[in-house]
Amino acid sequence: MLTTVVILALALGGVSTVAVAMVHRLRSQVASLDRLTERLTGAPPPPERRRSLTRAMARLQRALDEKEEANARLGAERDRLGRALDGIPEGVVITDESGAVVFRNRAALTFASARHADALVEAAVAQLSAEAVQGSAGRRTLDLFGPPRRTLVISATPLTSPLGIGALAIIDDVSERRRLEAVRRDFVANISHELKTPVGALGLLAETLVAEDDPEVSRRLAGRIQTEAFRVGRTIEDLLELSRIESGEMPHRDRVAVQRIVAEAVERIRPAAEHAGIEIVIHDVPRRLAVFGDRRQLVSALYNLLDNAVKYSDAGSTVEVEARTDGTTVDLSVRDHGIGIPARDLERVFERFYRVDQARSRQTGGTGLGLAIVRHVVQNHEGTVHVESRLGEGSTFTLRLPTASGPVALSGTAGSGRAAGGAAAEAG
Amino acid sequence: MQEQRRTFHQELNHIRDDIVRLAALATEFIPRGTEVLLANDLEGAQSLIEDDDLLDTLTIQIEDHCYHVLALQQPMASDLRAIVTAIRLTSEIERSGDLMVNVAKGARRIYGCEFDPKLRGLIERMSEEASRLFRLAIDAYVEHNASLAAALDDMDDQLDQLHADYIQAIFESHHAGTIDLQAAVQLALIGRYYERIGDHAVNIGTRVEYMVTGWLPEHSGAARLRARAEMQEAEQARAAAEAVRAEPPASADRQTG
Repeated sequence: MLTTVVILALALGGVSTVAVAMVHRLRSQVASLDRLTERLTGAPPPPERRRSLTRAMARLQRALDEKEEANARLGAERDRLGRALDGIPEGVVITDESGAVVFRNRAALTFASARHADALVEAAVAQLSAEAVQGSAGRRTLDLFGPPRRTLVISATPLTSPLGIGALAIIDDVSERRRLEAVRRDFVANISHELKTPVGALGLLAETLVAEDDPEVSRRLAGRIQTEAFRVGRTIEDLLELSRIESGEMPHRDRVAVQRIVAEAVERIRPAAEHAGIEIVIHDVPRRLAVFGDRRQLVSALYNLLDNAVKYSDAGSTVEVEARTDGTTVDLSVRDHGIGIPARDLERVFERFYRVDQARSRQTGGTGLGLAIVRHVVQNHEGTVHVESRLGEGSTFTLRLPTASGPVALSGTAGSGRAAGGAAAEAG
Repeated sequence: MQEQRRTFHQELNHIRDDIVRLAALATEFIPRGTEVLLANDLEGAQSLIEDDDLLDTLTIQIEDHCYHVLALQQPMASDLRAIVTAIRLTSEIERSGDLMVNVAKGARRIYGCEFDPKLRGLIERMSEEASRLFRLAIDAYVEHNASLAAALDDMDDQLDQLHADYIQAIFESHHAGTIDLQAAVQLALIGRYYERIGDHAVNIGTRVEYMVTGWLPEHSGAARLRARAEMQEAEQARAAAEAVRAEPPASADRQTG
């Protein structure tokens, strides 16, 4: 009996020791889980009496779920920011504190691992970013000849974060802005010159005329006054016409035969061509070929092309007019064998008052608005104008216009009649 | 070993990127120098001449890097060809940059001289063609494109033809009195510079072919020389054998005597 009691007592003692150890371990595990949950959520653990393993595990699970949701939201936010940055035209490159690139938007990706001129952009970004990581902001302008010709401004600034100083680099293509600035600057300079010169001459001639007694000299001076007045009058007329065309007023639309447009324009230029010793050659224009549009504007556009061709060709050469169609569009081209246009000027010849050769333009006359008028006329007729040219060989200007609907005569060979080779530019 | 190979290929990529950058600088020089010449731009000429120092500095850096890799990594086979090609390419590219510097200096020498549109047009075309060839050569290098590299020699014919037309146009201009002798000679030299840039692009193509295939045009020449030497030896051996067969046998003489 005593033995049994002793054994029972020992057994009970052993069991309670084990139970105490287990409870202690359990409490320790609950405390660890609560500490982990506190680290994840920042919230303090519940009071002692409400702690249990089940509750601790449930709290931890909730904390992990919340963390996962927060990470997913962060990821979505980062994606959204990334897509937003992909939508801007400027290149964005972010570098971390070690100098490694951690983000490039879509625009910047075109310069990564690039060749030729783009490789220089990448090199400039790397250099400026390295300087920015050291704390110095920087900016550089790259004029790249390519082709295509571009101007890029690259700027880099230090980007501070809890981890250190990284860098933010922006690649901004300012080519179009520079081009527009040049257009505006040249327009103001040219229009001032085009109006001031004849007006100044008129003043001087009038002053001289007032003091002149000799009728012969007076007659000559009056003739000069007439010439200058005509010149300034033409400039103002062309400006007004350009303004009307640019205002976007819908031209009066009729079905107009291309043959008629060519005939009228050639007739207008014939006296000047004959005076310059230049032959105008018209290649067969299909009789039924027609476009919808304002006959007066279209004749004016073609006349301006012929006028330029005659002015910049040498005596004894020819100017050719040709019309081709592929059934949906008409290509009306004027080809000369004159001095041609330098490649760098091709994109600018359609600007108002732009002159490739100032000296020669003053000699030959003209207002510098002809090609600007041509461009706007074709734009009003939903067409384009295209130029191909080689210095010393000549130029081909092509008006491309939609044909009038209905049966149209097709030329023997389809195609645009574009001259092979040569530099080219298009406006429209 | 894996780590070493990764490091070597990282170095190779770095060298390749530097060569692309060097080539980009030289390629930019071509239209830039042409504009300086056609626009009589003294400021632009000075700027281009100064910027050549950048080209020279980068050339030295790349070469040093290549020697460093050769010494420490001791590459073999195609890796060795890649490094050797890189060293040769820097020389071709740097020389091309120098040629455009010569164009800029030539432009200064004939400053104020007006030359006719035909000459200007041919200069523009030579510039475009030289620039195009150079870009294609670098494309071949980056893409390891042996076919494109091999085609450059034929493409260069167009630039050579333009050069010939240009020289003819100089004669005609001088004959017509539109340019004096000094300008004519300087313009002829300028044309030669563009033509030489095309030749450098072809040389780059040759080196790229070597890098990819291990073959050089000189290998064909060496093979022809070996074949000729072997033929000569075979001829000599045949002649010696003929001579021996033609000698009368010694025993037949004693019998008849």
